[in-house]
Amino acid sequence: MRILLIEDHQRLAQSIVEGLAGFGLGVDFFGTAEEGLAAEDSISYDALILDLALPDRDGLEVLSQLRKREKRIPVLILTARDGIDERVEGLDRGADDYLLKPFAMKELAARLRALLRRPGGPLGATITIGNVSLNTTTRQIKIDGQVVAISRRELDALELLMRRADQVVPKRLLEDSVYGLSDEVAPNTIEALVSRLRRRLEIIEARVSIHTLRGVGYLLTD
Amino acid sequence: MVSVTITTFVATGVALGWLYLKQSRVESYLHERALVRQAQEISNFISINDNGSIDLGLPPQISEAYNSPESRYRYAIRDEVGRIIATSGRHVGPLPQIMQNENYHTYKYQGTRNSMIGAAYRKKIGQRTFTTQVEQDMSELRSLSAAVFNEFITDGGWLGIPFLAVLLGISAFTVKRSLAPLDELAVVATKIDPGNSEVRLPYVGVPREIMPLVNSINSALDRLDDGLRRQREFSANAAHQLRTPLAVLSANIDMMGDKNVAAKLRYDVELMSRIVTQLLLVARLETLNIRLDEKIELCSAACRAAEDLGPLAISMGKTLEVDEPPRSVFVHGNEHVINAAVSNLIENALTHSPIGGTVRIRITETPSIEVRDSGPGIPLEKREKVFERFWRGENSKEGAGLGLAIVRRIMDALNGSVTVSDAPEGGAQFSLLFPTVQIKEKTIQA
Repeated sequence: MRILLIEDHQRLAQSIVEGLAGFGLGVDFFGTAEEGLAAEDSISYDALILDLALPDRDGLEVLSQLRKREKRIPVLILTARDGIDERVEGLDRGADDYLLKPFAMKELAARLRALLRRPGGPLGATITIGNVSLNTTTRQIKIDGQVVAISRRELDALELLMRRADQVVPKRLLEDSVYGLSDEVAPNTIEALVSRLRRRLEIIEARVSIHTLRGVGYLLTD
Repeated sequence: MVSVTITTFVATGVALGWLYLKQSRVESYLHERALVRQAQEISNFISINDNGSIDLGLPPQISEAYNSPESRYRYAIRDEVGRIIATSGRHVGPLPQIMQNENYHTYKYQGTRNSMIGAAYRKKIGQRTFTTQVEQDMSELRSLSAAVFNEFITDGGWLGIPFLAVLLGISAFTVKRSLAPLDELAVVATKIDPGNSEVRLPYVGVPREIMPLVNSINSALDRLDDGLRRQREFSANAAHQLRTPLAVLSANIDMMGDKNVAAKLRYDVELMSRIVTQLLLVARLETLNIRLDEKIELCSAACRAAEDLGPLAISMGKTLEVDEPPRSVFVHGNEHVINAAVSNLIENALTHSPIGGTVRIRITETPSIEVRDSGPGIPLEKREKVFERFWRGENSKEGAGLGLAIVRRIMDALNGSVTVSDAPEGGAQFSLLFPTVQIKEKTIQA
C-alpha cells in the first residue's frame, strides 16, 4: 500500500507520514503540485491525499488535471476551507472524500481505508480495530489472531462499520450495502441485524462496541 | 416639492419687487422731467426792466398753483450769488450745483417735515443768470405710486394667483418626471447588502445632472466591494493559518506514547478547532450571500449535522437521536448555514447534557428543527441573554460564547427565528423556526 501526499506544510506532512505508518500505511510526500504530479506519473499509488492550498497551484486544479488524464486514483482532499461550496466543488471535480483540518489520525486512516475499498480501488487491506482484524480480500475475521466464523450478512455490516470506524454509518447506507438496492427490507431488519451482530461480537469476545444513534445511524468504536 | 414651492414663491416675489422698483424709478424720472419743465416755464416769465430790477410776471393761474396753501409745489428764483429774489413763499432747499455744460439739475433732500424732490434750472437773461428751483413734496408722489401700484394689483394682480398655481403645477410635474428614474435607482439600491455587493446603480434614464452622483456612488460601491472581497480572502487565509498548525498539533498528539495525556490534549485541540470554526463562521456570515431561492430538505441538513457530531457525542459518553416526520420538509436557504445552525445547537446541547444523557433532534412540518438536551434547562430571565455574543453561562468552562449568537444571526438571515423553552422531559429546547415554503400548484388545463 503506497499513498501519495501533496502538502506544503513540512511539519504537518511529516506528522501524517509518521502517523499513518502506525496504521500500516506507507506515505510519500511532496511539497508542491508540480513534484506531486511528477511522482504520481512515475509510481502507481493507491491513493492521494491532496492539500488545497499549495504554493504553486490550487489543489482543485491538480485534481482537475489528474481527472483529465483519466487517473482513477482515489483522492482525499485535506483542507482548512470548510465552506460547503468548496466541499461540493471538490467532490464535483472528482475528489472521493473531503477532510477538514485539524483531524484525528485515526479518522484520516479510516477515510483512506474506506477509499481503498471503492469500486475500481485497490483491495487487500487488513483493517484492525481493537482486537478485531478483517482481511478485506479473504473476508476473514480474526479475534486476537484467532479466526472466527460469522454469517455473511453480519460480516457485510461489520466490514462497513469497521471501514468507517469512529464515523456514523447512516442506517440507509447500511441497508443498501448489506441488502442491496433491489431487496425489500422490512422496517426493523437493520435493527435486528445489528443486535445479532452485537451479541455475536460479545460471544467471540471482540473488544469493539457498536453504538446506536436512533434516527441517525450506527458507530463502531474500539 | 417643498423646495420647488419655495423657489417659485421667491422667484415671483423677486419679479414683482423688480417690477415695483422699475416702475417707481420710471415714475420719479417722469416727475423729475416735469419739475424741470415747470422750472423752465417759470423762468420764462423772468424779465429785467429798464432800471435793472427783476420782474416776474407769473400769470395768476400758475401763481395760484404754487402759492395756495394746499399746493405741494413751491418755487424760488435765485440770482448769481444765490440770493432769493422771488419765491412762492415756502422754504426751498439749498441751491444745488449745476454742471457747467448743463442747464438743469434734479435733486432730493429731507426737508423739515417731508422729503422733497426738486429741479433747478439755469437761465441767462441778458447779462444775468438766474436759477429757478421748483420743488415738490414727495409724500404726494408716494401716494401716487401707491395708487398706481394698487391699481396694478386690482387690475392685473389677481392674475398672479392662477399664474402661480399653474407655474407650481408645471414645475411639480417637470420635477417629478425628470426625477422618476431616481425611484428606480432607489429600488436597486435597496438590494445592495454585504451578501449582494456586486449590484450597481443603472445609468439608463438617469438625468444628466444626477449622473455624477450615480457615478461616484457606483465607484464608492466598487471600493466597498473590494474591501468585502479582501475580508472574504482574509477569512479563507485565516482559516488556513489557524487550522494547519492545529492539524500539526493534533497529528503529534496522536503519536504520543501516554494515551491519557494524549486524550486530554486532544480534547483541548478539538475545543480550539471548534472555536476557530465559529470565529471563521462569524467572519464569513457578515459577507455571506445567502440565496433564499434555494430549496433545502430540512431532514438532510439536520441529519448531516447529527452524523458529523455522532462521534463527538459517543466520545463524551452521550448519545444523539433524530425524529423525522414521514414526509420530507423543505425550506428556503443554504444547506451550509442551516447545517452550521443545527451543529451549533447540537454541540451546545451535548455540552449541557449529563454523561449518559441524550440530545434529541426533532424535525417538524411547521417547519422547524427542535434540539432538546437533558441538562438543567435555562432559567426564564436568562433566555434572551444566551443569544448575545460572548455570553457564557456560569457553569460553562469552555467555548467562546459565540455558538448561539451565530445561530440567531443565521436564522435572521433566513427570515426565520430561534427560540428557547423548556423541553417536555426537562432540559432546554431550542427551536429553529423557518418560514413556510409556498408550493406553487400548477393548474393543468384540460
